[in-house]
Amino acid sequence: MEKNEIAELLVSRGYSENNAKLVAQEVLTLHPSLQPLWEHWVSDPSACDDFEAEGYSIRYFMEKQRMTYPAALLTIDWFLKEPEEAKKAVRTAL
Amino acid sequence: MSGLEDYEGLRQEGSVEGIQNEGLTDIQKEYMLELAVPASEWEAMQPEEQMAWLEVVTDRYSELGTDTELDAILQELYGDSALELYQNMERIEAPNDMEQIEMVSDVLVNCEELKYENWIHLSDVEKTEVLNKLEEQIAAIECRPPCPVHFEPLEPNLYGGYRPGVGDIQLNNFLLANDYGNYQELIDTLIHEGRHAYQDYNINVQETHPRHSEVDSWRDTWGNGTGKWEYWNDCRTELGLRLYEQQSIEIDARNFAGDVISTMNQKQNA
Repeated sequence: MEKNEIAELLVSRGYSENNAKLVAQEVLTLHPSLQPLWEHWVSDPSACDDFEAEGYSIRYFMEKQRMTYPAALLTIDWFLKEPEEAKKAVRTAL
Repeated sequence: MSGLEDYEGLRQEGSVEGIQNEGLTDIQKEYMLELAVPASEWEAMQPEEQMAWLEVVTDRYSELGTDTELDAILQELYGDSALELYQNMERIEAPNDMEQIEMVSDVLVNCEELKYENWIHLSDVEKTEVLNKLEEQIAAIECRPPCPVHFEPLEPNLYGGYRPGVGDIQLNNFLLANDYGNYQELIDTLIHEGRHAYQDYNINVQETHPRHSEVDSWRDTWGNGTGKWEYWNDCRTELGLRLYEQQSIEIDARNFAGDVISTMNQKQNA
């Protein structure tokens, strides 16, 4: 999918245009292990496949931090790519 | 804000005429006078509201493209209080970041109650009082109004937060526990949230930060319907944690608090 297509899809699923653009950019470089999960969600918005990294899961971020599926997916992507940075940030101040 | 009718009873006869002679047309004059505020209302306004009012006035003044000095317009149309506010605004500039870091770390180092060996003997009420006194001193350094600091049962993953609409700093209850890790995070969070208050003040009330470009970058992520990151809608829920952490306001608050803590540690170990 092109960046614009991803952004349009996100807008159609409730994202603001600005946030959709930011997320779309990140989705383009998603970790290979997460790409099938993203594609599944694209074809079926109710499909929220879970994935764990460094003791955190997509479900955890959706349930405990009220993230959307794409937001939780990107967060797990961070844990896969930069686990130490992500772990530091998970307990944070707003 | 009130309309022209409200103002009519307050202005001195002849003063508006004086301005007209210096260059404002009747239409320009009326346009500016739409922003006139009755004296009683003016006195009841918070400083932040007065600053917001002044910002609207200066915006309108810029639109006019007149040669008449803003000082003269303020004094003639709105009175001495407005002029004084403008002159004070012109003067105020917060210390630069390095100076702020030095000054804030001094405040922390010099606070006896904040030393860990004393801190652990304080009650929850006393701890809250100490933090409020510290926040007052930090706010004075940062040339912004102080925020009330209080403890709340927040989500377990949060240390605390600054609420821009309310203007307070919330800290999570678990930070009250006598644990050295919590104690360090508590100080870091107080500084971090105070920096958000400073950003808010600079973006939405009065720009006192010496570097305009930094305030612009904060504005970009602040939200209020204009920033592209829409921070205050809690954008983590849509963007995820990494994008959230990459916002200019978060990077700035994190770095500022980190620098204060490390300078404080150096001073304590010297």
